[in-house]
Amino acid sequence: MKTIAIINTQSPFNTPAGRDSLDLALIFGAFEQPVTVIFLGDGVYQLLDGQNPEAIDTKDYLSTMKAFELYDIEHIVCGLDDMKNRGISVNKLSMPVEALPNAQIGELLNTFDHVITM
Amino acid sequence: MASFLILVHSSNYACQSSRSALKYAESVVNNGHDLKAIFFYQEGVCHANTLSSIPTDELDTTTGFKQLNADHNIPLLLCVTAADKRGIIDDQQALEQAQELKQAHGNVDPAFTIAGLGEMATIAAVTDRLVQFK
Amino acid sequence: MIEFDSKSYDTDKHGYLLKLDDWNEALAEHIAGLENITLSDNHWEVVHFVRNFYQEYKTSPAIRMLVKAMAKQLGADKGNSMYLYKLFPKGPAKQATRIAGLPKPAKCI
Repeated sequence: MKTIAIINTQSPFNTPAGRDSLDLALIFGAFEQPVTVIFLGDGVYQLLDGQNPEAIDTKDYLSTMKAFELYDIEHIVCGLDDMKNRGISVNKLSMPVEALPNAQIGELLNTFDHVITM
Repeated sequence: MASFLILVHSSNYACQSSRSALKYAESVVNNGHDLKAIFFYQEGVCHANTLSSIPTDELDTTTGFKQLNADHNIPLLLCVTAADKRGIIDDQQALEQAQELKQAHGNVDPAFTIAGLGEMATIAAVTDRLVQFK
Repeated sequence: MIEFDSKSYDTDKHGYLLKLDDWNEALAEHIAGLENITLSDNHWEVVHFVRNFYQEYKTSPAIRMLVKAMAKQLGADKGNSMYLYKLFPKGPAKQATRIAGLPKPAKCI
């Protein structure tokens, strides 16, 4: 067994990074490896509630993030500084998220066996 | 000795990271470590496309990866979903779609194997180090 | 393309309906016939389940996801791959989503 951190750094719809990253999180979940999903930088925009991707003819993969709970992926973390810099407060997010000061996330990353950045 | 899994995220022509991945993989093997597999995800699956041609004065990293496979049996695995989206299919898939495609041959280089994220996750679960090249 | 009841329905190259709204139960019976399946109540339960799943999660469930989600909602008797393969021998996720008029699920999740 390996503990896995998956870091999302990109805004949700410019590239397929967020979607491909979600597939990674779900597959590790399916194989019962403990997964923590982390949102940093523009990646925090993936967490904003109430987005309507269909309006720009884009697949709504954000709704698929609800499947985290099916795989017992419960530890979702975001960078508090990144949120503040973008004027986003925790109550605007689509799911329960632990907002940690970015400096603390550096320490957190040391605790995982594998870290994947998308 | 440590075990490694390498993830390649970018194509064979657009990015220095493909070359870095190859150099890194060669070093892992040459230093006596256990390279479990190289997994090609996202644009990385383009490495396996036999229909692409690289000018002779540019480094063709696919040749290097194939050499690793031939000399050291390093599995070169492709994400099937990423490959499907980019028109990279093996002979079996081509046969299944032969009527639509009007051809019965795939374009995956035989050194590469169509796999899935499942295989990648299974290997990652028993590997010391996972290294990404983007 | 699927021809049924003197109408034609657009599909992708794997025979999955292009438009979610084209779907109805009679068409589902017809697609099931193309898969050599006669729909029983147990089949219908799965077909409706994957359609509802799509509404909520916006993705066609692949097999592992289908098993997990079914186990959670309907219990382990139905949320296991043996039960599902008995109903849909050529791949529960593949066949149930096609019959339910959904996009083909990803192969690797």
